[in-house]
Amino acid sequence: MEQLGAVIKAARAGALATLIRLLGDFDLAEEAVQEATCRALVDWRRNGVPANPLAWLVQTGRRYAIDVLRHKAMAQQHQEALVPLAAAGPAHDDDDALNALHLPDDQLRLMFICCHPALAQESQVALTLKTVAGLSVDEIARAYLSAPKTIEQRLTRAKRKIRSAVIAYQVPAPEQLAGRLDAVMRVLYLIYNQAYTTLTGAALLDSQLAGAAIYLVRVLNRLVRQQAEAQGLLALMLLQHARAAARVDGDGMPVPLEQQDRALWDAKQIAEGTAMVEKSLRQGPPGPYGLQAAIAAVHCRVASAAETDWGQIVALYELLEIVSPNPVVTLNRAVAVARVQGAAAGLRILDVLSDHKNLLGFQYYHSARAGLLEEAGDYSRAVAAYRQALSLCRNEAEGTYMNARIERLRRCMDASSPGGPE
Amino acid sequence: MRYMTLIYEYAGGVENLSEGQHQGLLEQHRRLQQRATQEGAYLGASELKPAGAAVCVRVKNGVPSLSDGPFIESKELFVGFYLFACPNLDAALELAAMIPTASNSGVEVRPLDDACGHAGSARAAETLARDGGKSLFALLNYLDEDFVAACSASDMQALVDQSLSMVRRAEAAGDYVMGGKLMAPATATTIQHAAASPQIVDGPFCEAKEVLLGFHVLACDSITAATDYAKSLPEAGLGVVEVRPINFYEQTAPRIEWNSSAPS
Repeated sequence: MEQLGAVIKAARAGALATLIRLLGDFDLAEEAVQEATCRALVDWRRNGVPANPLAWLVQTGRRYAIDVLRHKAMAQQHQEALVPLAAAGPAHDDDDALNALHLPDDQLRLMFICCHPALAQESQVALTLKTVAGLSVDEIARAYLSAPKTIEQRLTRAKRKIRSAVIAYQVPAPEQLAGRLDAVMRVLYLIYNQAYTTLTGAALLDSQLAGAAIYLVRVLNRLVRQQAEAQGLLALMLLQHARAAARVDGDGMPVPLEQQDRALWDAKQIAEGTAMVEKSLRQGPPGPYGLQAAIAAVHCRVASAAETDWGQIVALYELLEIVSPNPVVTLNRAVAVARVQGAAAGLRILDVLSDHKNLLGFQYYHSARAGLLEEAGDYSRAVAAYRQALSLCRNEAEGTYMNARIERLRRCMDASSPGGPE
Repeated sequence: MRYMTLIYEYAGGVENLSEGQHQGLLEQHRRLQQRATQEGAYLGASELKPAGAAVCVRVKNGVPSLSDGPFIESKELFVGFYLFACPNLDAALELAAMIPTASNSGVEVRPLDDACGHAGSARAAETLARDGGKSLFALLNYLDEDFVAACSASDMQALVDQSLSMVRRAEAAGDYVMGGKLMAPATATTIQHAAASPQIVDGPFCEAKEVLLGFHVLACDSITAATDYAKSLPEAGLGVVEVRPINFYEQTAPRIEWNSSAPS
C-alpha cells in the first residue's frame, strides 16, 4: 500500500505537467490528475501497477477532462475546446501511443511557465511548489508563514495571468534559454533558502521544503543536461543540506559551522554534492552557484574545522566577487580573510563595506563584525555590534544565541575591568 | 492574441534630445516596425502629442467638466502605443523590448480584450486626416481598478454597450478610426530599466488606483468635437477620459477586425 502511494506520487508530477500541456488549463489539469490518482488507488490495487504508471495517469486524466469539457460544451456550446484535445491523444490504449502522450520535456516546460518573469516572484515560488513539487496550499502557507487564503490568491492570480496574457507552455528559444534558466534557478534557490533560514521550530516542515527544492533541482538537472550552473545549484543544496542535522543543538540553538559536530553531517550527501561540484567545474568557467558549492565543498572535505583550507576559500570568494559582485559576498570574504590573516584584516574589509546602506540592515553583517571584534579583543564594540544584529534578528533561536554572547562578553568585560560592578 | 504596448517616457525626455539622438530613436522604431511587419505582428502604432496638450473630461451628475493637462501627472508620461498580434506573451515582450524607452523609463504590455474592440470605419486614418482636413485624437479611458473588479459580467456589458453607442455615432459621422478594451492591469507585464539591463516584471507600469482600461482613436475637426464624443463615454462619468491629440498614427494590414459585441 505504501509502495503504491510512492509509485503514484512519483508519476503524478509528470502526469500533471503533460496534462497541463494537453489541456492548456492548469485548473482542469489539476482536477484531472486528482481524479486519475484516486482511480489509480482503486484500480492498481486490484489489477496491479501498470507498466507505465505515468502514461496511465495521463490517459485516465485526459479521458476525465474530455468528459468534463463535453459536459461544458453541451451546456455552453463550446465544441471547439474539444478539438485539440481529441486530436492530441490516441483512440486506443496501445502502449506506444500512450507513451507518446507524455513528452520528457513537459516538466521542464512547466518549470519555465511557473518561473516566468512576467509573474510576481512570490507567485512563481507558490506555483512551482504547488504544480511541480506537488506541495499542498496548506504546506506552502506554513512554510512561508502566510494564510492559506493568501497562497490560494497568489496561485489564482498567477494562473489567471498565464491564461489571459497567453504565457506560452514552451521551453524558451535557445537565445533566451540562459536568462530564463537563471530565473528558474533563482526560484529554486529562494525555496531552498526559505527552508534554510526558517530552520527552527518546525524542523519537519523545513526538511520537506528543502526536500522539495532538492527534488526540483534534480528534475531540472535531468532535463537540462550538462548545465554547469544547474549542477552547481544541486551541489550547493546537497552540501548545505548535508549539514542540516548539525546546524542546531538539542535546544534548537544554532551552532556556528566551526563548532558543528561533523559526525552529524550526512556523508552520502557530501559525497554526491562534492562529485557534482567537480562535474560542474569541469564544464567551463564556474558561475555563482558553482563557486558557492565549491566553497561549501572545501568546508565539508575536512574532518575538523581547524583543518579548513581558508586560503582556498578566500581564493574562491575572490572569484565569486568577480562573477557576481555583491556586498554579501565581500562580507563572507572578509570572514575568510580573517581566518588567514587575523581578525584585524577581516575588519578592515568590513569597514570599507560600511558604505553600503543596504548591508547595514543585514543582520549577518553586524553579527560577523561582532564575532571579529570579539576575536580582536574589542569587547565593547563587539557588544554594540551584537546589539545591532539583535535588533534586526527575526529568528528566535538566533536571538537567544546572540543574547547569550552579549551576556558572556559583558561578564568578560566586568571581570577584566578593575573596580567594575560587584 | 492582440497586445497593446504602452510607452512611458520621462517628462521632457524628448525635447532635450539633439537632432542626431532623435534620428537614432526614429531608426530604432523603424527597425521594430520592420521586424514586427515581417513576423505579421504589426497592427499599428501611435505617438501622442505632448501631455501638455491633453484635456481631461469628466461628467458629474450629468454635468460635464473639462480640465487641462494629462490625467496622470508623474515623472513618466504615457506617450504612445504599439499594437501587436502575437502567438504569446514572450513574442510580444520581445518586440516591446525593441522600443527605445524599454531600456530607459519603461513599457507595459497588456493583452487586449479581443471581444470588446472596435474596427471602426474601413477608411484608413491618414485618408481621413488628409481628405477630411481632420486631426486625430486619442481618447484614453481611465477607471478605478477596484470598481472594475467589482463589476459583474452584465455591468461590464452595459459599459461596453454605452461605449458602442458612441462608436456607432462616430462611425456614422465618419469620425471613428479604431479602439479597444484592455484587459485588467493584473494581466500586465512591464519592461523596466533596473540595475544594468531591462527587466521583465509583473504588473502595470503605473501603480495608480485609476488605470487605463481602453482607448478610442477619432478623426475630428477640433479637440472640441473630440471632447464631445468623450463626454458620452461611460468612463467620463465613472472615471475620467483623457483626450490627447495624436502626432503620428499608423494602422497596417491586416486590418483590425474585432467583434463589436462581448462574448456570451
